[in-house]
Amino acid sequence: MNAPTSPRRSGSSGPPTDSLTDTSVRAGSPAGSAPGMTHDDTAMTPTTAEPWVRLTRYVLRCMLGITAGTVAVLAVAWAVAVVLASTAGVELLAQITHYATVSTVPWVAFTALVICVGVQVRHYVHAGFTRRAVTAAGLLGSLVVGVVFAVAATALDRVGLGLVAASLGVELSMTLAPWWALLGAMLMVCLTGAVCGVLVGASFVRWGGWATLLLPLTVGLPYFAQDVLARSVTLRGEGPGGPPSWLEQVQAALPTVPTAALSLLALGLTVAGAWLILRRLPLPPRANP
Amino acid sequence: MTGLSVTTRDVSVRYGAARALDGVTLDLAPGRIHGLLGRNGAGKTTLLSLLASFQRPDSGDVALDGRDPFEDARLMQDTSLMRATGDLAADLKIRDILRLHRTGRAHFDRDLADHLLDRFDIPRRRSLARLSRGQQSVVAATIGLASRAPLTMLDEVHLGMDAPTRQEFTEALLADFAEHPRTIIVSSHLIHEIEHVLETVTILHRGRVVLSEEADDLRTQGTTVTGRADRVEVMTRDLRVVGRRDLGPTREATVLGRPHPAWVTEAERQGLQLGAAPLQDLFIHLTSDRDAA
Repeated sequence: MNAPTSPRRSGSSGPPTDSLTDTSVRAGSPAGSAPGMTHDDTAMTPTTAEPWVRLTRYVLRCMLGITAGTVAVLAVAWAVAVVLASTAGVELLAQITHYATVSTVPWVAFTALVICVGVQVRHYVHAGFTRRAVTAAGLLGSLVVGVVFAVAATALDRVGLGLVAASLGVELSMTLAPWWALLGAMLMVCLTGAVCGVLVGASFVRWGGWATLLLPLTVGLPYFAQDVLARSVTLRGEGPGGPPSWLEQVQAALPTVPTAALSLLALGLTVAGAWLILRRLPLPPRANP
Repeated sequence: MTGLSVTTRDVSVRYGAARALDGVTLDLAPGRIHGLLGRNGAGKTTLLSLLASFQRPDSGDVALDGRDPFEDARLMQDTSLMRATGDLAADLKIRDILRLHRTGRAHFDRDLADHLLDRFDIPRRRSLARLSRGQQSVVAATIGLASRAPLTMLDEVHLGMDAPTRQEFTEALLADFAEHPRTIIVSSHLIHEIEHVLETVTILHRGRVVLSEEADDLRTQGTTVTGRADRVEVMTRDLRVVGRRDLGPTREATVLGRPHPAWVTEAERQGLQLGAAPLQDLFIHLTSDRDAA
């Protein structure tokens, strides 16, 4: 009987298979290498930036697009607000600006981090990044987004509002908080919004739809803490832009310093939560459709 | 030595009440093309996802080049698991998916990726979700090859591709392996299409390793007998036949074991041709027997 022959050795495979034939002859031992190839030729990592640095750059580039889109939308909203203010009074503009800075901008930061980090964990690990690198990129991305958005929101609130009021030739009847207080509050609220984005995205990857039940913890409480702080800083004063009555009661019960301490604690817990979920996040295979 | 070695010791994984892997112990040598075969639900994808650090085993040890790959930055960068779909971001454009994998893989070959995508007319500006099933598989297979990861795993990556495309990718795999040797693990149900590239074969069944050995050794465990159907039938009457194919009056039967020399002489006198057994027949037999057991 003819010895059964491997189809591979029969030369039916088409492309250059000499090296494969060679390796099959040495069955049971590691394959022969192409000339000059060593383990290091393929396994050695070329000199390049650390994975978390590369991923952070990638994440920031991703968020740049979202931020640019957001700025465009805000610019249109601002133009509409100015037109309204010219007819209805600058206090209306102040209220709109407060709403945009305190309530809207942090949610944009939240959304950017959900989109660019939270729900992308699987894809980043799939592309060869560790969960540590994803966490680092998420937190650094949050920091950058938090600072940029806070500065932008403060500039919008103070500089923009002042310019519009001056151009309209009116004076604001309400008392505004100093810019540094607003910047500090916006920094906290934007940072927390961004980190909440990482936390919420990762929790949905971890627990699927059940993570909805965790939203009061993953986003509700931290966000509430920051919101109270931001409003207590930005809406102190009198006039139509002043704080609602419920917030006045909260402000009376919680002065600014304890509120700031609580908001710091909330931010710290959010960061810790994101790290705890991400560090050993299992990504079991999805079924091939 | 090229590529990463793979070692698992008594690895088990459960999904709820279902046991996906049950005490899997396996050694795969570096720098070779290994086949991982198994029926649906055998545990192939779960095993590969452990090697890719997608998850940790419930018990047992996994090692690449002797080290636990989970959260090892270098090993994770050097390990690529590519499936037809499911792991790539479906809502991203192809160019963005490529950019992400270029960012993550130190050895990513952009020219090879461009060459393969051009060859199959894959539009870079379209999102993955808007491509056909076969085109999505082309993207996955392209990234798998272009990543040049020292441990490259292709899990059913041919799903949805038409026959010419499958053949071209198999050829591209061989050509790239010849130029850049590394450890490659291929999992596919299309055994007859990939068996010629496999150097070793591991068969999983119900979460356990049924066998893991050289492909050539496995082929010698069976013999094909080809000739006139009636003569083949007579000659194989007392042998264990595990596969039959008819083409007009010609029949090819796959029998288990090494026939006696006298039987071989008689078969050749009858004008029958003897050859290596197709892996697919042996695979079906091995996994069916386990079912019966």
